[in-house]
Amino acid sequence: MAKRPGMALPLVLLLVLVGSVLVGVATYVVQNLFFTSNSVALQNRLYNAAQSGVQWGMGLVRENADQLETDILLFDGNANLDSIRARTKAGAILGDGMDPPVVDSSISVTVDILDCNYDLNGNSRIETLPPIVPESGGTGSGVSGIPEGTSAIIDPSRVIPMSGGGGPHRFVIRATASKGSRNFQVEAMVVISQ
Amino acid sequence: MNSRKRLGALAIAVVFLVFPMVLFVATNMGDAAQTPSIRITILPADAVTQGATWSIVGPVASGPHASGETVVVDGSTQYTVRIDCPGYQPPAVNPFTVYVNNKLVSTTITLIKSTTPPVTISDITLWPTWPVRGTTSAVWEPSSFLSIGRDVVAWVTFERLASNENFFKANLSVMVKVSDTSFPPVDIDFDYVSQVFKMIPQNQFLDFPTSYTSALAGYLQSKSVLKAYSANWMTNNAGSYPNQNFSNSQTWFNMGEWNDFLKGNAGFELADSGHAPTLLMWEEDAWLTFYVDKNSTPAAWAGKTFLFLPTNQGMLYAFDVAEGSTAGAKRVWSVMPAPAFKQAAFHQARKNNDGYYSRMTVLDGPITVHDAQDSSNTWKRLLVGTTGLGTKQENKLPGTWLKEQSPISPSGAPEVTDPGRVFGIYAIDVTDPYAPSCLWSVTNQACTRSLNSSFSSVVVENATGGSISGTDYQNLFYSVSKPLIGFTQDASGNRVWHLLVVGIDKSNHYHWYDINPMTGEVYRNGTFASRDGGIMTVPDEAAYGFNFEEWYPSRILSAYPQAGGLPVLSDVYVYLSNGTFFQWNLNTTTDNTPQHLLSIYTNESHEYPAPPITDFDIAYIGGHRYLAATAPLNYPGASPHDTYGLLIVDLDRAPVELNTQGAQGQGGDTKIRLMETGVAMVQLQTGTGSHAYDFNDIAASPLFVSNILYEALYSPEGHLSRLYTLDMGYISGITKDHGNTFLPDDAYIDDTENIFAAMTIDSEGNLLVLDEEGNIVYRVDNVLDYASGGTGSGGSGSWKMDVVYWKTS
Repeated sequence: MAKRPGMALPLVLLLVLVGSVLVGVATYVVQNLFFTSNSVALQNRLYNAAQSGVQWGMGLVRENADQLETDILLFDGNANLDSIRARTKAGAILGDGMDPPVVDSSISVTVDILDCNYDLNGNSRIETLPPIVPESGGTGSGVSGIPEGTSAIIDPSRVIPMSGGGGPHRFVIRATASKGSRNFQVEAMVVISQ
Repeated sequence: MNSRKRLGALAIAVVFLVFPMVLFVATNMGDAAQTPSIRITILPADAVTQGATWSIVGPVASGPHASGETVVVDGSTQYTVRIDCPGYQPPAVNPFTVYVNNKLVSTTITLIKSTTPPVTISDITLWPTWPVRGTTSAVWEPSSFLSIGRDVVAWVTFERLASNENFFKANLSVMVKVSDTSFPPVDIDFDYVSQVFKMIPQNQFLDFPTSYTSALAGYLQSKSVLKAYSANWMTNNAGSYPNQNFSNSQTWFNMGEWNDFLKGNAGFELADSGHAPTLLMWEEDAWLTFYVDKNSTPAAWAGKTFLFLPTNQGMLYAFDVAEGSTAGAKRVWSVMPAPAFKQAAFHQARKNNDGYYSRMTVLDGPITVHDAQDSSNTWKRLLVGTTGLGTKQENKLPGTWLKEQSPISPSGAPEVTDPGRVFGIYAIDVTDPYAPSCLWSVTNQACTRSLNSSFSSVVVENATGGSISGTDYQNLFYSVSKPLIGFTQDASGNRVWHLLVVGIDKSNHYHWYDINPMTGEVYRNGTFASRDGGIMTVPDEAAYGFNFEEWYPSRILSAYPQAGGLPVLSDVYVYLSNGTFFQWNLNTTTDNTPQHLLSIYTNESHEYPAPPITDFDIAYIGGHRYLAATAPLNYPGASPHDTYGLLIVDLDRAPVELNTQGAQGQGGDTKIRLMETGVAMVQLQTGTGSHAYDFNDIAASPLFVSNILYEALYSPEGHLSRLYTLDMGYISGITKDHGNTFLPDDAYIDDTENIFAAMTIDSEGNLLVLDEEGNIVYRVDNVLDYASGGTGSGGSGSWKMDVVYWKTS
């Protein structure tokens, strides 16, 4: 029997090549799956952290409701928005010097509590400004602050069970969670009234 | 008959018939031909030699004229003539009236030589004026403002002084709630000894002197003598004397007696307060602490309630009212505001002349107390009041000087053709209720007289450093409405404080003033214009027999905006005494003057306006604005009669003109009269025919509470008290627009045992009806719920938070 040229090596090489490609593809897919899952997980962690920051901000507004500044604020044009941050009548910025509760030690969270009762004061509107909702001046809440069918006469001698104090008053709470180059922002507008 | 006899008969006829006729005609033709003129002949000749003259002082002044001179006058029928006769006694009546009927009137006046040396007046234009004494036989009490959520009630009643029918005193009642069942009257300590006793002669508080001092003399001379003080005004050979003896050395003015009068230690405590009801002020104004600034309350008011009352003694009194187990009221200070200082001393001058005090409306106007911010946004508590009607002026009477240590008395006073008025507005800082201080005042003083002696000026006293233009107040004649203080605020948060005063100007028009309460500066002023552009005028006093504004003062109140928000002056309502009703939005830049909403009449021909008797009320029901008011109704016709009516008006449905005619014979027992779409009226009467009794005593103004309209009344002639409890759900649902409809079964409760005297809602939300002794004679529990939501403490209610939106990015 005569020997013919061997066919095994090319076949093996082909199989090896195909196998390598398959492994490579599989590795790529797995790696992609890993990174995607990781990103989604981070997104979720950022979201949770930002949401926690918003809840923390809402808590601050509620805790300080009795003391909140009700006079209109004047925007100074600075993009840091410090001039329209919610504050007490005494001038203390809500959350200033305080950190939101830590949800994930690898994620940092900043919370901006902005007062919607402000005036542009001649400055240009910038993208990060919250909506302007004056506390007074007929904003059309449609809800009287006194009971239906009860004397509406304003006089120091008449104490009516009152509600809708201050306007009502609106705030935007904006929480930004960051990890490395990844940021995630949650924004809520809340209205407080009595 | 022969010709001789005929001639004889003709001659007789001529003599007895024709000649008298000719003579009659000739005489009358002569009269008709005379020019209307006056000729006064003065005798004896020596009087003329001494300079006796005569003058016409009105209606067109002329003279002086010589004795026997014939002066042609115009076509008037009545002239006032005065004799001036140095060295001779003037006629008993001087000036006197001469009637001219298109002919010459010639009169001879014989004078008697005076036994005293002649008096020379240096300047007749400075003949002083005094405030006119009141002659009214009855003074109506003002209705107190109905309080809600408070535990103190106060009111005044007036009565003629038993020992002096020319003077009215006020009885002050202060009721303090001490328990759920007890709202008794408390003792009032007038504290004649340690109370702070002050006056504001110009722009600062000064201790009221207990004896006559040179400083007081100076203030009286410069502030109280109109039109001006003159130290050497009249002269004879004995010396020179002032036109009003407020000189340093005088002794006639009894300061001790005046002190007792002002302190209320002269047989009565308080003079009547005219149009001024009691005013209670509390530690906190919840409308401000709740909506505007929790820190608006002045620190010195912590735990305090004060009662303020101005009276026609010319004094504003402040009482510290204690609640709880130590309930009581103690007068802590009294002060005479600057406008009152200009007239109050004449109480004592009148006493010196007449032997008794007379009623003079020196401090007759309502007051208001309200917090406001100054230019540096510092909260202040202000008290603003007026002199109300003020005081008309008359010439100081000859003979009065003799009782003021002058041995001589002048004659020949100028004629008063318009008594004018001394009227003022004043503002006091009561941020510390125990240490009030002066802010500003304006006094408008005017009187029209002959001989160039008229005066019209505005005196400004200002301690604020601001600038008040007296010209802005020149036209304000008087005001008996309670002033209103509030604020406006624009979208940028600019808050402006306003003092609103509604008064009557010198043209008898209703006039509004928008004033800076801190400085007295007038922002704007104007008249009330009707829909057709006419100017609202006080009904003619001559035609109706009384002054509508004096009897039924116009009312101005501010309502909380229906849409909510801040309690700004966007919904101010004004009910004028001519029966017209206005809405006023000051919190806008357009149409920010009073806008005419309604005119209310009591008959179809609109002869009788329906003015407000008490404060009105405003409430929002089903998205509509409802007005409740009490008005006097004058029904002419076959069975003319007067009664009161409770008007209920849907301001969003009612027509622009209402008349209440047609409800005769329908007492308030069974039916409501429907007058127009959205307008109902309850005749405040019980029974019909000869058994119809009016509810003439209004214990409390109408009040909306939780969709029930309350009004407490008493009928003295029927000996019946009634509390209306009208269900607004029923009334607002009535669709008929004319005729009568039945009252609901529970429309009122009657009480034949007790006299309803007041109504209030206490701090627990219970509606209480009190009798004159402060007994709670009827109660409705929990008409208001203070347990949930905001409370009287303001801002202490629970906060609610809602999320408007939530988004990610």
